[in-house]
Amino acid sequence: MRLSVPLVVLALVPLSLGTALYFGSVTIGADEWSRLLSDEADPAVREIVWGLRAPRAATAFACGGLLALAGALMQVLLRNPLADPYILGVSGGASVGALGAMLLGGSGWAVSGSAFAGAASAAAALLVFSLRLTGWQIHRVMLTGVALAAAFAAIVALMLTLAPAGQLHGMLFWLMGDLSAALHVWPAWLALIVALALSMALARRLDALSLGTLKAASLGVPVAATQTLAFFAATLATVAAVLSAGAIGFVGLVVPHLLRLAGVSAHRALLPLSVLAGGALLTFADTFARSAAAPLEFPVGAVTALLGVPVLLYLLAKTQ
Amino acid sequence: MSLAAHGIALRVPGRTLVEDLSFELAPGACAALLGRNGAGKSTLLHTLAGLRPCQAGRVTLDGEDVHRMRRTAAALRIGVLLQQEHESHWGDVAAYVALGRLPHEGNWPAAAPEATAGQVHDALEAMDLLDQAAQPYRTLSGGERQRARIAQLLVQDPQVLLLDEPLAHLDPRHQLLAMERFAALARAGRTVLMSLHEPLWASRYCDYALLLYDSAHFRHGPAVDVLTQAHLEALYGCRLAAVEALDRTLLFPSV
Repeated sequence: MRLSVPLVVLALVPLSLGTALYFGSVTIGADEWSRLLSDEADPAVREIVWGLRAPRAATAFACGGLLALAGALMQVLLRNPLADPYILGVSGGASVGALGAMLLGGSGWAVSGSAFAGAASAAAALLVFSLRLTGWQIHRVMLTGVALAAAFAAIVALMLTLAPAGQLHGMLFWLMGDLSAALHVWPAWLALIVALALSMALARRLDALSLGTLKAASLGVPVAATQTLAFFAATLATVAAVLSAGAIGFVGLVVPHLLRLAGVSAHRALLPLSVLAGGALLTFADTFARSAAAPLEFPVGAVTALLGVPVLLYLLAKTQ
Repeated sequence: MSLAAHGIALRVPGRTLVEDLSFELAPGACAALLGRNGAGKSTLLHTLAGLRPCQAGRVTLDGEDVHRMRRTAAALRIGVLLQQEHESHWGDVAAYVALGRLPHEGNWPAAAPEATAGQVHDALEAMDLLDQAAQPYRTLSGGERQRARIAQLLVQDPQVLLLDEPLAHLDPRHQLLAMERFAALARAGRTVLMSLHEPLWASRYCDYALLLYDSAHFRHGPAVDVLTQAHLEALYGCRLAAVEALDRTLLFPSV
């Protein structure tokens, strides 16, 4: 790993957060910024910067970090470079829960609680179908997860057809990822700290696990326990991100890959750098989504996908 | 350490590979495992390493059941060269080889990275890979990867080495380099068991041989008694020509 990679990632963090504070539907002048720092600012400006933009940027950063972390874990767990946080249908379960609550007229915490219940049920179903005493059979996990994801996608399609026109807009925004509805900053950050700490404790074992379960076992890794803990960390991260911001695509797929291609391979470096780079990427994307055509807001998931697809195609063309 | 099988049976769905196999390999043993494709050589090696359960009997290392050991404790004493692994290592060759220290270091390596670097350097040198140390592992050729795997096993530094076709993909010079290294480890008191497809390497370097026949039969004993023309012709089901060279009889497939 070249030293410049961590330096670039570290530089992106304050840059992304600064951009998120600076840009928005209201333009704040230079003199207003200096007054803001010396605490003599217009209360309305202070509210815009610290009350609206700062918490939203903090949530975006945490969600981006969670998604990139979950993606990096899923890719090593399933030994599939195209795995992303949503591949196993856990987020599909959350979508069904959230949309179901919206159909019944719920909002706010009711939607979040219902989404959480949906995600937890999906994770439980996955474990019941694929966990064996001898460890995980990766192809079973994959097939079960893909089947669950397909079933949830079908249920979501049914719900969208049945939904009254007035609710469709909110549902579509939830499905594509939307940071404006995040209720609190702290759940995402709490989940990020727990999931990162847990996966860092597994980092060296994950290096061995990427060579296959038999190889990892021959190097002394307790395979089933490591897989289960890594799956738990990835699920926690995915669910926390989806509950805060909906299903935002491509961050989890692209960020760990970009870092690997830049020469970061050991999970001890890959996991924290994924968190920082994913956080910065989603913060940039969300700032663009809410300020490019302000006061109109784009769904941030569409922005990350539009950024992510060219990057992915470039990577595919570059790596043979 | 001495590795022993006590009446083990190996079964895969629909077939019995081995029934009631017992043998013991003392420290210093350099043993060959020969058999046709699909006879169960890899399965036997995985079972001896404790990576796979046996369907009857037990495997012990100095009297301790390997299937009851904690994985880390087992990996400190038994090293396995697998025939296949997932080729998804993104780091360079030195980082790949350093993974062999995992059972010794745990998640957070001890405060002596120089010691690990020294061991990695020595292993790379032993396997003639110093020039490739900083190269991405993915860019290695098949034979270079095989040498990197052997180097990783040298860094793991186990008392018992179970090698599954260690000479696969290697060119003649590196076949010789690898066999000399395994023989030296055995002379230093390690226990070595390797599956081989070339009887001439087995007769040149191994003092003990285990033949796995189809239909769950086996034969084992001192290499000079086991690696005879008659036994090997029956094992492989083909004729072998005997050539006198290097002070011994070497056997080659013949029509």
